Amino acid sequence: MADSAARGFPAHFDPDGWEEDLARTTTAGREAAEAARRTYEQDGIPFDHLRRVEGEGRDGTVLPDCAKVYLPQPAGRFGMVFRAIKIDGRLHMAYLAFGVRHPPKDSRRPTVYQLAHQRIHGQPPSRSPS
Amino acid sequence: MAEQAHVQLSGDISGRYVVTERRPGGELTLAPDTSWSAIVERSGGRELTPEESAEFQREYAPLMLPPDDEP
Repeated sequence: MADSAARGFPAHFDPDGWEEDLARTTTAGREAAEAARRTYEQDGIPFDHLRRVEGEGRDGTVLPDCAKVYLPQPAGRFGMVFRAIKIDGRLHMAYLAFGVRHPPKDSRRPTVYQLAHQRIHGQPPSRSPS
Repeated sequence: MAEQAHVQLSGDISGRYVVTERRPGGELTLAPDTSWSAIVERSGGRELTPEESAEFQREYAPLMLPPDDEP
């Protein structure tokens, strides 16, 4: 499977998921997301931007084969979650979700991890954050 | 939360959508299906097999940053 570039993965961005997520973010979030997408589509996602995601998170999210980047790099307040897929036999990281990492507790907005979980499983995580 | 109905359109507009509202007279409001399975289908790709997933973890996880204290 070692068909990825030596320094990163090719990226695939789903237009519908992208539009849905950017429609509910802030101007700062949109700017961070769009800048990252331009870079990742052109050059791939560097390994050292990607942080591994636990298959089962402490917040109840279940995100297998996923990795995340914080935006703006390296530790911004937004997150983008990707999941590994094969396209034409090559490993790609497919865009899964974008959003805030830690929304204010009283906002009722989901975290980017909860958005990603919902997309994979069709329902919110069964557990609340501990 | 009730699960949304899914529809597949073909014609001038095609693709997978979800029904977000049903109005009297049968009128429907649709939105693109942004589920993972729809994302994979639109990509023209496929999910990893269990063997490929294990290989992904084995080969590439060490190249990425380690997990932190959030998911």
